[in-house]
Amino acid sequence: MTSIHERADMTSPQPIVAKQLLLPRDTATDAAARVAARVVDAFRSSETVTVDFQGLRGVASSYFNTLFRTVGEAIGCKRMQEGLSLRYESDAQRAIGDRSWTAVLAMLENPDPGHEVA
Amino acid sequence: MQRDQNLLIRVAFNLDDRWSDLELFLERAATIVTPTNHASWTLDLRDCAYLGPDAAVLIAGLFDRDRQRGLVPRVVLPEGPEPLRAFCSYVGLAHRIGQGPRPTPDHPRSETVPLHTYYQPIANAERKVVRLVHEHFPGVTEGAELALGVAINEVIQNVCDHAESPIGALMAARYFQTRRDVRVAILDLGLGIPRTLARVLPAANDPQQALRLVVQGGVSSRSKASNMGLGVSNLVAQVRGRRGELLLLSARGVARMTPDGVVRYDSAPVDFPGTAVFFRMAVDDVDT
Repeated sequence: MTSIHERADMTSPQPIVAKQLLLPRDTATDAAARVAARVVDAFRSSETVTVDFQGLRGVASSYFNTLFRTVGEAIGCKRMQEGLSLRYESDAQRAIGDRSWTAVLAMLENPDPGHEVA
Repeated sequence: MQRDQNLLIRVAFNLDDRWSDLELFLERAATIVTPTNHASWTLDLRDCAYLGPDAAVLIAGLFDRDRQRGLVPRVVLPEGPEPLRAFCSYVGLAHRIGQGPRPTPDHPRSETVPLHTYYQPIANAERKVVRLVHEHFPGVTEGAELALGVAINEVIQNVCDHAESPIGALMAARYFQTRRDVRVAILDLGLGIPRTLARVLPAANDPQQALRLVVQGGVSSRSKASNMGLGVSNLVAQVRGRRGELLLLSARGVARMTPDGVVRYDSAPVDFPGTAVFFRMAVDDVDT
């Protein structure tokens, strides 16, 4: 049994601010892997986790691909879809993220699609 | 062609950032563009009165590659007009070919991001271009910054993931104050999109078809676990959203997008050894 206080902590963690985990000479995938590790760790004690992408203005698809794939492989697609909340800086950034999200989910649910490698 | 021979390529026309000029250059320089050339060469640009960033990365890329191959490439830069001499200096072309000092991008009048080679896909490769634009146009919109960032990072990530380019990803950029647009040129001399994609998708052996597939998105050679086949289509979407222009050259294929967002596919005059991505986009509000 968990206490009311512990339950509250499990559903309202502090957002993970992705920009704070970006180091000066990082590759996009290194930076994303660092965020993913935090997310996976946060899911150990929370049912929902929020990632805030404010300030990450120019990151490309590999960043989101790595983040979503790493988290999805670690906790499963269902839990990621239900518990991972994403706070984008703009609609344009959301469009990039959404495309990666869709592609990663499709890949995780069908990892060997033959020549249809999307 | 033997190693001790020296080819002379004379370019007596302007090389603006448009396909008609670049096509003419590729035709003229076809012998040295191909990696099967084993002769040293001299590229004589003395009668050329204009060079843009697209030409700068092409020339610097060929120079770097053939110097690595043990050839003796030589570039004779134009002696005038003065703006062209300044561009060759600011963009780092003169320094690259051993004919000038290291460029000074912090110079207040510089409208150029000098040639830079990326061997790693750093997460904020757009930083220098965004800074340049900010210096000249503080009113640059967040949307333009994002579009620039995504476009540049998608290309450099693709080069580093797939291309196996001996010269890495070579980038240069120039800001045009009167038009409030920025031109970005990124070049690799690696495998090229059709050859990379054909590893998993035989239909991609056709260069124009390969370009169609990557522009459309959703196909990838999966060189890395992070590849989902979205890079080029994201690039296209960002440039299209800024009503920009894009040129994508790889192997015998070329894709050109005009400001109306329409992409046309054509054949290139040479089997280009790698991929060139040249784009321009407005940095002010595209709706006004």
